[in-house]
Amino acid sequence: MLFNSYLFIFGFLPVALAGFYAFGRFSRLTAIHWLIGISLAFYAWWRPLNLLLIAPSILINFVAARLILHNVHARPAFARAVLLAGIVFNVCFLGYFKYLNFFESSINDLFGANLILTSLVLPLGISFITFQKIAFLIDVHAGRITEFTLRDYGLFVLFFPQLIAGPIVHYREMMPQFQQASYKLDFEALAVGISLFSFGLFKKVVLADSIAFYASPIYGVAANGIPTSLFDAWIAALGFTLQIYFDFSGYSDMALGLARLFGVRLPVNFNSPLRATSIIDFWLRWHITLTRFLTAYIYNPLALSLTRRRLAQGLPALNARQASLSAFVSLLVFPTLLTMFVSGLWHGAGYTFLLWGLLHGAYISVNHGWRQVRPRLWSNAASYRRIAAPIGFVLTFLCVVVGMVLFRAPTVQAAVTIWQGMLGWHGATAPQPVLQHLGRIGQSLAWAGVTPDLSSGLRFVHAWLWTAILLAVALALPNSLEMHAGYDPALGIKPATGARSRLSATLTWRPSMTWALAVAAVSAGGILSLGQLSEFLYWQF
Amino acid sequence: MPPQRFCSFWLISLAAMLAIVAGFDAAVDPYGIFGIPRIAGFNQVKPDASTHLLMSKTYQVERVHPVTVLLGTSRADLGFDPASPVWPASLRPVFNYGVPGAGLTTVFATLREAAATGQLANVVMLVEFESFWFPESDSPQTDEDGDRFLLSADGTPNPHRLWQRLRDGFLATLTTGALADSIDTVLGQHSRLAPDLTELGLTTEGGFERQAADNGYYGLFAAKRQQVTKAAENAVRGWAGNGGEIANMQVLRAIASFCRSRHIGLTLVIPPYNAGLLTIYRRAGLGDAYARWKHAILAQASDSVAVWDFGVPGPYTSELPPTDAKDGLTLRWYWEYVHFKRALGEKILARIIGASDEPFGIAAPDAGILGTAPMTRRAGYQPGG
Repeated sequence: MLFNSYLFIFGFLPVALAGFYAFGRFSRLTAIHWLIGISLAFYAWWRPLNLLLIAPSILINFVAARLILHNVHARPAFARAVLLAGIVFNVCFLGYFKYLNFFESSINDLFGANLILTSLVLPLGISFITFQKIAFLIDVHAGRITEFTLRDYGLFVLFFPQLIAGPIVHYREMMPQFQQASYKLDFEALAVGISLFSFGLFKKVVLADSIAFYASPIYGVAANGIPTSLFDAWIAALGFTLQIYFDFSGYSDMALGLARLFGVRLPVNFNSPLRATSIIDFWLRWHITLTRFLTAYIYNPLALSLTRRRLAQGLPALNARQASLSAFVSLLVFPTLLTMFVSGLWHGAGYTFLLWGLLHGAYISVNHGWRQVRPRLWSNAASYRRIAAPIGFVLTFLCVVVGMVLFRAPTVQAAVTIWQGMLGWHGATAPQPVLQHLGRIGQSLAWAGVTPDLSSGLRFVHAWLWTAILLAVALALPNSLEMHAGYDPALGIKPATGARSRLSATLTWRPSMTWALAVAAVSAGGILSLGQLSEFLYWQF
Repeated sequence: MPPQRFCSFWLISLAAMLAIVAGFDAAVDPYGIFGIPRIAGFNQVKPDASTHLLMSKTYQVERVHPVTVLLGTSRADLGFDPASPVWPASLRPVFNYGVPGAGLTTVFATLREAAATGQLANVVMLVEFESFWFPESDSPQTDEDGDRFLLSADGTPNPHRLWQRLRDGFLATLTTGALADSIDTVLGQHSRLAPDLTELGLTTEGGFERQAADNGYYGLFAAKRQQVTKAAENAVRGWAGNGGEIANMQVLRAIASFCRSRHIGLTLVIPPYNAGLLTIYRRAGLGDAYARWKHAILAQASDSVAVWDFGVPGPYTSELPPTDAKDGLTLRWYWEYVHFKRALGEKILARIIGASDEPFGIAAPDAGILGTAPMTRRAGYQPGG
């Protein structure tokens, strides 16, 4: 069941809320059981068979966690073995469903083998759920979780607002909220939840889906080996960047809003990443909970282990001021590339995703390298910040857009075709009526080598106009979290304390008649756009 | 404001906004599905009905209860005027049920729908070479198109109709697309070049007029040339894949049989093929296929089926496009290679009705095939009667 469907908005959600608060008036336990039941129904709606996969997996993880909890002090080796087995089980579970085909086709590609590819249906949200379960096992082993029941664990994994596409939550940030919640209807939470959900719905069905109409066909054309001209290639690259931006931003807002309707705050997962001034900054704003997971459970342990090994060998560790090249490569570049490789693999079983992950690993490594050498090249931090911020923003934006082509393209070859187009390798064409209407500018473009084609001028103009509008929204307007900052929209978001621009002050949400009207208009826009169902891009992961 | 009041005000505002949008969309009726009276300057012209043409026409045909129906693809949709003065009173009301891109199975489905409205007596069907290139599946349309019809394919009342109509009504009133089309409809009322879907099912030529004004006839022909060249190359493969046989003839025979069993007069019309289009087909290797196809169509003539061939060489098929983008030539009979203008459609209708003696088009007997049936069905005929 999609969040952006009539069934969910007018059927499932009202029933889920009514049941939760009705049961909550009498018994917290019944309300929790209701929430687990309704979450299972949500999960099973798409494919009931999924329940047969997810339920045993939850049970096995629960048993493993209990074994770890009971043995972590008395029999640490056993607890460690159970932890390892639990992680291997989860990785294999994910690997079987998500990567078996990719593994087999890669063997076929590399060795000319003829392995028959297996047709498997990927259980919904498996990548998110798997990471959440692994983090839980590690946290139990590390002593960060000291008590839990099957009911608590089930609710933690299955809570439907975050079940399918995150955010990837920690047990310790979710369960205290369920334990402390009143289970009584809280109109402030309802108002904030409605508002966040409405903004998210609007972003998804109005903004993201509309730009997809212009960008998607170009990837199809490139996949057929047809060269892409300059303007089309940039529409494809910018269009998809904006599509996934508003798609994921919309989903994240909807998840936050839905959880809030039940009185729960989810961690912040998306915070205007296109405004980032460096690629490191970008990853602190894009899919924040994934970055948090990868950093905590892959990058940090790996970097720590490598550092210990180097120190044991008498080699210098990474020094913030004077790092040797070998320390930089082995303790920073290698763990970064490996972590981002895993990130790419997590996003999808395909060469394009692997390369996308490695590309971002390379970006981050360069960014870290610059941070190492910059103080020596440019010692005045104040002037650096003033000048480098806008340059950093443009560079980061371009790097992200270039990377997104790889993320979206069906094949590496198609991505290369679009990159070539972006560089003008396949020439530049524009619809004849557009060049005619542009007058002197059109003549200048023609002089610069832009040739007329027979495509639709209206579509061309709409595509660029829509791209410009979405860019302005993404870069200039405050995001949903900033707008709702005074009402704790997410874990980790604090109300702004410094001076704010007039626009930010005007667009600060509060329970007022004007805002009720504005949110109703946004809700109406979203509901009116539900006619064409489209999945969230991140649901496929 | 207390949050509780915020929630109440939000809910009331949302309901009011949705109600206003639904009311506005229903009043404008951009697809013509509700049959709301057309008011000059407000909703008389329906420029966006073409986006849901099969749906719109299905609702219209049930309001019109035609005695004569015009079937085919976009050529028929644009080229045959159901309100033309050439139609005698006995053959009216005439409804144009042409659907762009319709395959023969869809044409058959629209015929069944027109017949189900009660008083259909005559069918004029444009038979087009392109409809016989690739074998069609048995399902004529999308599920929702089929669910909208009065009868199921087996002739029994359609059990899905009510649900589909409720869904259509909802989507035509409570979606952004419908709202945008309603606004566009109101704003487009005073545009001379806004295409319209008339109440009798004709799509007017405003769309082509606008394209001709923007891109010139050279642009229109050049764009179509690319399209038909590619399509013809595919067709050669399709033709070969079908063992050189003409595809879908069984559907045409089923249409003829359906009409015969209900005493509905059927006139098959081979459209005027522009000489330039035939050249493209010949160059692609479809010359023989075209000749064989035409022979097969002419062979359908019988005592209940009339066949007219307007694809014969002559002044109306030899009009050629401009050869240069700067050439501001305006064509009289064609918009581009495929679509003839309504002016030429008038001449075709006049010939098949018998209102013109102009030597244009050949009826099947003159082409050497026996049997012809002029449009003899009387108005007011009741199927099964």
